[in-house]
Amino acid sequence: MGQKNINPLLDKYYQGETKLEEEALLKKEIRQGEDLFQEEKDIFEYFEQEAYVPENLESQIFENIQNIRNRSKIVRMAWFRYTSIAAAVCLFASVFWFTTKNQRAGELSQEEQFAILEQALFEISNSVQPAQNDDVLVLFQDENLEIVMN
Amino acid sequence: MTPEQFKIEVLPWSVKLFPMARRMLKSDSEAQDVIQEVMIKLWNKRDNLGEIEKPEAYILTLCRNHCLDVLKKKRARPAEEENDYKLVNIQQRTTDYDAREKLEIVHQIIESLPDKYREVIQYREIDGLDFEEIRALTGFEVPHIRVILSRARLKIKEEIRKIYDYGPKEHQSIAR
Repeated sequence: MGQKNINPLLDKYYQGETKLEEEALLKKEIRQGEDLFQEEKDIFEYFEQEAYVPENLESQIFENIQNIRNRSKIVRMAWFRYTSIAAAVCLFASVFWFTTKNQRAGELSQEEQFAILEQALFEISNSVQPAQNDDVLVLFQDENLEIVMN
Repeated sequence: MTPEQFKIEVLPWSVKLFPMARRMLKSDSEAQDVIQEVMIKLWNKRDNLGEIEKPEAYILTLCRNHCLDVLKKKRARPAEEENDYKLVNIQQRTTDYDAREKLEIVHQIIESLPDKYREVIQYREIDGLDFEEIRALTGFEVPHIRVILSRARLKIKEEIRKIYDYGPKEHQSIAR
């Protein structure tokens, strides 16, 4: 593209009427050309510098996303594993605790039952045993027989 | 969306978004972090991306808002040493002192433009956004964007010409 072609495009550029592709072409021509358009050359050089993007940015970012995805998968799997282990431990612990608690409860209730039984037997024996009553009238008494009257 | 589809359709946006993120955050590494977060967000939404009416506008806005969030958090932190962005980045790639000075002059002129001129110029010239994309980010209608672009381009050239005619010292007084 010669200077003749650059000038109209540059006018269009300053009117804000150029398309992106035209601007790219214009910038390339002026930056690579001779110093006929010194101001534009410096301005376009600045834009070029500012549009700098590190090499391999895309691939680096993609790699990092992949790593994060893999890590989250591993973490999720580890989370499941540890949760299941914890759940199993909880289950065993609770079963053990309830069993021993029940055993203890059984022992206690046996003791209680024994005490109640003891009490009951004592009461029965008391009630069965005739009360010593001084107010009875002895009608007859010998070695084998005693006839009393309440 | 499969990983392969994502790689072809969405991932190239990281290259397009990078200059904008770097410009806003004034740091290459922070810009890369933000782009990565944006890409992860898009990856997580990959099955619904087809339902978004204007995916370009959505992605651009997502990235810009992400950068603004990072800036907010940064401001909330106590004074942090900020890289001298313009010098660091220009020095890295340009060793020639004169060339560097020229880039610095253009940078200062663009920075001194009114906000909407500067924004539109940067979106168009550095990020290579089309008018619809600029409209999505700025809310300006396309004819207005053309006018802003035209005025901003002419203004930059005019300022540069002044400096080249009178020397850098003159520029410093203009910039002030």
